[in-house]
Amino acid sequence: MIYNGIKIDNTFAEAFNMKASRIIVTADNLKWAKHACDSFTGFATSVIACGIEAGIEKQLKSSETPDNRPGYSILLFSMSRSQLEKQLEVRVGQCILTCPTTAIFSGMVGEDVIPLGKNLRYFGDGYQISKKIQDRRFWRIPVMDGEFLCEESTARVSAIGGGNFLVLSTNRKSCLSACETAINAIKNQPNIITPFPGGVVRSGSKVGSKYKALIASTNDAFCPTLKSITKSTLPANVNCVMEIVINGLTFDDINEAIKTSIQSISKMKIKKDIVAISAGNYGGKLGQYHFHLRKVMK
Amino acid sequence: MNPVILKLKKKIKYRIDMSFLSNAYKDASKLSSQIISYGNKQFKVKELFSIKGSDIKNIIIKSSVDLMDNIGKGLNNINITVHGNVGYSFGEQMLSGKLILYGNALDYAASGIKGGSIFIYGNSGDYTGGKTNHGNIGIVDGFLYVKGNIGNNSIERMRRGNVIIEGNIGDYACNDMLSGTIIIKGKIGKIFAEGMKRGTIFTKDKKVVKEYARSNDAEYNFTKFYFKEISNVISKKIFLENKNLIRYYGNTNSSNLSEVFLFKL
Repeated sequence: MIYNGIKIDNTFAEAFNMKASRIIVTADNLKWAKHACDSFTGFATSVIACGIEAGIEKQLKSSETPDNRPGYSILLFSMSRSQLEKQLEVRVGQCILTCPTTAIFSGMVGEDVIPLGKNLRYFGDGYQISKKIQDRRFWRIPVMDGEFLCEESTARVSAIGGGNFLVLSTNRKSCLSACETAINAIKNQPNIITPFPGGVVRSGSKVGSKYKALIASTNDAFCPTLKSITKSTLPANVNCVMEIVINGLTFDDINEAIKTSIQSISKMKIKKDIVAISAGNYGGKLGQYHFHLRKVMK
Repeated sequence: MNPVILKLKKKIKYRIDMSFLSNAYKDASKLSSQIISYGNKQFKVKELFSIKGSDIKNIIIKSSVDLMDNIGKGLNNINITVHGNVGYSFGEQMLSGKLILYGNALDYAASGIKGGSIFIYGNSGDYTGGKTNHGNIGIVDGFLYVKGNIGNNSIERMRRGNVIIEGNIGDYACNDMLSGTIIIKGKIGKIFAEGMKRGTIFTKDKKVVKEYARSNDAEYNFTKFYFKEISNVISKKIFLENKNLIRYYGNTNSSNLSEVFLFKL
């Protein structure tokens, strides 16, 4: 299939069931809210070793936040509830509580709740104050710049992680440029995040390794440097491959994000350098959700 | 479905116990045939009230008078709107749902509520949001808004929840408060907030803070947020800004961990 001058491979992206939650971080100004969020979402690229995958969903105006201050919403994804709870608590404690002027709120409503400030309140050493407004409880924890306000719990929902596509290019410069354009195109789309640095991955992985200790290793079928010695899937003129991984709350959110991203690449001048758009999968046996690129782009 | 509308068929001269409205009826016909006492006789509801509509979870009472007691008593997941005055124990020990009153209430309104929201767009009598007339427990949880004034012994033994009084509050109010948040925009009577343990009070009356130490002038994330949330609940913008607030925390009585925000209008 050729979409607007770009070849779309007949393959699919394989994605997994995950658990997700949304939190809202506010501060006196965007600068400090960003510091807190960058810290919170740092080292949260892949569940393989980070515990969770997290990213800034979008920037929020003062009128959109619970306390009329600017902020950001963050989406967190994890494979299990316990890991999500643990990482949320640890990261809020170390990255949001510590950051001047911040406050944290739940960004989701649901019946399945997980603790947000429930255990963090003990940092107040008995001076913490509880406030309940309608059905939501908040904790005011005294800190050196005043008070840290945090909601007791947030909701948890089922979500999808690992939606992806690969950009196959003749050179690295064009490949990176195409990925940057794709990320820019979806940066304001709600309900999705791209957890990797800048939204782009260069170390796509396959399951397993020749070394017993590793559960994942380099995806040699897509490594241009190994074309001549492995069972490569790359055409001869491909010299660089980068991947964009998208986690979303629903199938449609990811579907839309993949479509928008590829559309934005197809409008670029450097599309002549893009050999094809492909996707990463594990043969369809591991993931519950399949994003067939040609169906997505129809 | 249209809300059930109750209207008195004729002027009443004896008190009526309206707590039957809080029962979970299957449909409006069951409500119509409910037996209630009036004077020394028993009647069906439809003999005293004209009843229209079918949505049993939303009830409107028109031409209410202050002889109608216990409206919304123990209410659970039902919304009742009342036009006119009501008698004693309006919304007493309510569990959930919403009660709106466009009129005045007699004593024990919102006493011992455990959840839900009560809006009184008028005045309310003694023991409003206080102890029930047969118990020793005040507001356990929930939301109370009164546009007018409230009487003596109000908001006693409050444990949780939010109370907003736009008018004045009588004597012996807010005593033995365990926790919760109270905003009082008007004047305060004598003997106020005695035996308070925790909780937050917003007031402009300086006599309240006599025994408190002045806390800090730091920004309060909480207040900004709190007023926005409360404004949403009462659909009306709350007036307070951080710059107009002075926080008092730390009482001469060491077991008192309550805080008072003094505001200027």
